[in-house]
Amino acid sequence: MTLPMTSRIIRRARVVSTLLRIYPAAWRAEYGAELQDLLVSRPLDATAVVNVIASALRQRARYAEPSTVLGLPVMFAIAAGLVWNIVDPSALGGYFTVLKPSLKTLPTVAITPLDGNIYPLLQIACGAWTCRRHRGAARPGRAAVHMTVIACLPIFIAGVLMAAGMLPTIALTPAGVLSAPVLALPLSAIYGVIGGWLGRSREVTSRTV
Amino acid sequence: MARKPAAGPASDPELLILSSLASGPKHGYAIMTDIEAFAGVRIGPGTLYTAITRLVEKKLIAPESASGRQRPYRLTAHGSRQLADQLREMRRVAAVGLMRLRPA
Repeated sequence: MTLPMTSRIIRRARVVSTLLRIYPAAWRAEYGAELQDLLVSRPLDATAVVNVIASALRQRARYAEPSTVLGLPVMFAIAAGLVWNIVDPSALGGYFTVLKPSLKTLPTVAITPLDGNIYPLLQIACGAWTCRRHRGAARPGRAAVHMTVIACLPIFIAGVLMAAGMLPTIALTPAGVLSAPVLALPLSAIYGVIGGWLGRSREVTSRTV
Repeated sequence: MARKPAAGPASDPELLILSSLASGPKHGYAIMTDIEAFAGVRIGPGTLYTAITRLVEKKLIAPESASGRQRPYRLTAHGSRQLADQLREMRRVAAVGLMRLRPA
């Protein structure tokens, strides 16, 4: 075998294993070896690469946990709101303010999107959905906490950047910003458990009927 | 020459895979080449395995015990019934369409 041919084979194997890594681990464990053999045994043109990437993303969406599916849109909404609040501080205090001084003792900073009526419903939905997907092995409280962690990722990052002086402090203190998502977690767990209980009771009802 | 799948029931990857497995168990590569041969449709490797995943989940096909890395898939009894129903339905629609196209 000539040297260029060997390097071509190695490069191709590397491309194939990179493509396979886009798939969720659970899917890869089931079908990965077969798809790898198929990709190695046929010409791997740009169309095939695009086709595999599109399929991998579709599988990622199908295998995604409810906490990720529900947490990501909230995360993007919070990130967009934060950027807007930082870029245009004149809008602070208005309807689209993400971080506000809280009326409670703790947390000192309130995360507006999490304080509305919709977010608790999303957490309940997350708990119920997790329960229905994983049946007995479900941990709805943990799933809702995971959802809040994902949703609050921009707040954590903004808090760290504010503490480092790299971002203007748009809420009371960087410590208040950093502690706000952490203090939201226990309530998330409670909503998740409620959702899980609803999911389980709905399952029992449908089984009885 | 094989063409890319066009829109329409006859190019639905799931239906093509079921039709391919109607002649006996096959692994992924064999399904792909068989579909190219009998339908003239080239299915991408990603599309093929997305459809296989869905068909396994619906219990229309099932993997057989593999001797190597390539697992053959076989049509289940439920898959066989489903394929027959779909093909009969397509034949009925095709017959009506062709009859209406016939000049009076």
